[in-house]
Amino acid sequence: MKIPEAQLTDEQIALLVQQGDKEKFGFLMDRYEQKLFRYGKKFLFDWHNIEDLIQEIFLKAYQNIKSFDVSQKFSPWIYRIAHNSFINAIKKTSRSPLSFFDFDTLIPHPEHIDEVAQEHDRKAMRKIIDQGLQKLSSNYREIIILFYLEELSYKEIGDILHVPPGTVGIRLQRAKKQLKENLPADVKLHL
Amino acid sequence: MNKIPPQSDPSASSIPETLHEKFKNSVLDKIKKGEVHMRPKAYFVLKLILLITVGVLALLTSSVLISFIIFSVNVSGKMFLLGFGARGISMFFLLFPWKILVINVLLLFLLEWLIKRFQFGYRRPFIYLLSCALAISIVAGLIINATPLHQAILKSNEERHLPVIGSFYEHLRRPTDGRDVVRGVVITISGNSLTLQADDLDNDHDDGIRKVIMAPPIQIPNFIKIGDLIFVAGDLRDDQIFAFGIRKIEPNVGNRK
Repeated sequence: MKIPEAQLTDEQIALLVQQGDKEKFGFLMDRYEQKLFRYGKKFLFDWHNIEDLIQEIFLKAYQNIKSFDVSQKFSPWIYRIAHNSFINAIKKTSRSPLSFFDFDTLIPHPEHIDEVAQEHDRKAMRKIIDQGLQKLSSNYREIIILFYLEELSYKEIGDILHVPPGTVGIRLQRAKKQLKENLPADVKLHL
Repeated sequence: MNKIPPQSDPSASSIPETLHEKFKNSVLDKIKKGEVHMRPKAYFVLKLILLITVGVLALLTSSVLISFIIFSVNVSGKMFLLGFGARGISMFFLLFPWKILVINVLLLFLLEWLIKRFQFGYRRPFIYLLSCALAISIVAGLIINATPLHQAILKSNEERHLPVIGSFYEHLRRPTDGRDVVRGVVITISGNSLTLQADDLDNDHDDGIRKVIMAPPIQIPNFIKIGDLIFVAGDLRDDQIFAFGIRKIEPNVGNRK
């Protein structure tokens, strides 16, 4: 019996594409196009050819789909491709020197997750993100988008950025602090 | 690449439905027309094998270099400097094979970069991975050092110069290119001085008779006898060494059999 595509998981669809069913790739595009567009639009806020980048991401995903391990989650895999494409896009235009070493990954950071507090925090933060996001540095901006807007877990974000989950936590804390500092005075008053 | 026309509102955070189908069809068309190919599984397997091979080679090379550092420090006698007080310790650091250590550190960073490409690697803090790689490398280095590998290469190189690898073992027994630290056989002992047949076992111009005068309050140890092979550290002035340290070398430490 054929299972309707809507009921298939991303990983099951990816497996079908790996087996040669090229058409099914369209379903993955349907599921991730808006998400990646939103991610890119917020991350590269002043980028004008975001559609070209998203197209490039899907083409890369198709080219490399056989490297995807179907026992793992599909979303961090495709977000990783998107992350790399966005970073390359930033590198092409940025005049600031590239950072070759991430000091946040140097030492272990505690990974404390309180899911109830996290959900409350997500709701509160979503209201203020747009107000200060553009002033954040790209690495902080990205982590805010992935956690608060894309609602990914620390582990998933770690898989996308290739950093330990503890580093995600510490970077998120710093990003929130910077975001709050960047908020207009009238918004700060209402916090 | 077919360009998708820019959307009318650049600040919008979603693709309008009209563009969505066009966008999707553009990607799927490229796939169907064969403009973009799915890379075969073998490509990724080969890439993985290559990564693992480079990683294993980096770890092996690092271990061999560590074992070589230990061996060279022992054979040259530099290790004795650590027992000669502050001056000996500072000289030890001055004469340490830092270049090889730097190469080794670079190899460990390469290894770290390779490991970070795998999930088990990037999920762990850098310091854990580096400590782990360093520990494995040191343990493997100690094991290699316990084997006769370096001694055999050194011996072969002294008999007939080995290509490439030979340059590392050249003059290895000579502690400091003939400066300040000398190895040799005791010829005479008189009071607080002795004469020494300097011999770094390479039969070259820096072998010769040297007078060693112990700088007070250092005395010649009682256990040093004529005929002993010794290691002396001090200031070399006109073939005289004003020594601040002296050690007897056991016959199995880097000597010709």
